[in-house]
Amino acid sequence: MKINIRNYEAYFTEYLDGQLSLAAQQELQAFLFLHPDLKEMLEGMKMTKLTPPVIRYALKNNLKKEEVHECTDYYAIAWAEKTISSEEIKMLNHHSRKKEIYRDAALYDQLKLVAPDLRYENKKKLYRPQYRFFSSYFYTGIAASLLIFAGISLLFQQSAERDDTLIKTIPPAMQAVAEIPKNKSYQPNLSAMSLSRPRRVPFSETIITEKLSLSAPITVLNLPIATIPQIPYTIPDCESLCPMRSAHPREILLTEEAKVWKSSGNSFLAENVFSGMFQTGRLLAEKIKTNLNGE
Amino acid sequence: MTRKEYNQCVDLHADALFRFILKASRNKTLADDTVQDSYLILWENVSVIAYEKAKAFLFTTAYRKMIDTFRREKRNADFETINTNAYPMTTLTPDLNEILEHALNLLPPIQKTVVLLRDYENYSYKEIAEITSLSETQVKVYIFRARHFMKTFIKTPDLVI
Repeated sequence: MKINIRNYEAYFTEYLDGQLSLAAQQELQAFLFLHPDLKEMLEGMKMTKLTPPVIRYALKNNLKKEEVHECTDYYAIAWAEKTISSEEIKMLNHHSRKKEIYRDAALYDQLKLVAPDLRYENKKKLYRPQYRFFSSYFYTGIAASLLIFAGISLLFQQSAERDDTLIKTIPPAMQAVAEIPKNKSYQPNLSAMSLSRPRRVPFSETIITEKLSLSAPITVLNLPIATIPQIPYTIPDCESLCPMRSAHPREILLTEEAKVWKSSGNSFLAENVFSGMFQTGRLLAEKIKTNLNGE
Repeated sequence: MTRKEYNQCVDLHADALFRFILKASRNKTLADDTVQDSYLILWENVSVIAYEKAKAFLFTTAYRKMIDTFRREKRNADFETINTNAYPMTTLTPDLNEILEHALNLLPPIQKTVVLLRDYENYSYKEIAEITSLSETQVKVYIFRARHFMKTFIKTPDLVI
């Protein structure tokens, strides 16, 4: 905005304060050239700059705030609660706000609550008998004993079942058959085998699993068939029946037939000392028993 | 602002504030009360006001309290009218400063205020505008009118310079 007769006062003020830019100063000079009366007004105005007098405010120290001013409530409450120190009391006694703080302290003192005399009627229910102090140990001991007993029973049961499954006796699969003549159909003597007579099955009902020439007669070879009255079937290897044992062959097991020590993989038994000792004792007992039976 | 900073504000600005109100009102009691009230308000807002803004806050508060007091007392109701007979000269042979002081006392409060803030406190036009709730242009105009009056006053034939 350019300087004109309506706004020259602001420009003059800035000029007197030395805050006009160079361009504005040139503009002002041009304006004053056109208005000599205003130029005359501007002259001598710099004399009116005031020099600040040195005046001290006598009560300045009263304006300053000490810690008491910052937290008057603290001292009042401390006084009411009787927790104020002797140094703080000494400081307050010389303080200008002593009356104010003491008045607040009296107010805080009145704010103290008085506990009413109330009785809890169900107090007897809250008492604890003495045995309850060790009740947890008592029940824990019982539970532990039961667990141990159950574990031992389970171990005995498992060992008994394993003894049963070690040796099986299979009944005779075949009876003795007389020599079969060549080129004759085989007719087993069922009565001699003391078996029920089976139904004769026509050839058409038989299932042919391979390609055979029906025209060719089926010849019966005179193969000797061994007759075994009783086949003791011994489990060849415990590991084949119990895959778990192969992974942990750390124990030995004595069977009746083999009479040799075999490895066992019962990891559960071998994992802790107690079960290991128990297993060892059991095996020793079985060995002694087997030796006695052999003699 | 902390208590320490508040106390620093007392050290730095209390004299200037007292001088400003005293010169603006020519009433020591009013100046004393205004300074104390201003610092009390500053203390009440000590947690809100930044240390850098404390001086402006003090001068604004003091100025407004002074204006309120003037209005309440119905003194200087017209803030822009010059009262030439209000304050007689105290000495017979005054120097320039005394004459200027006398001229200053004859100024209307608003002009006196802006001149005091400008010359005594070296406030910028913008800061004076904030304190007095005027525009910057108004501040400049009031300063120019005040200076023009003072120049005219010191050149009157009755005064010896």
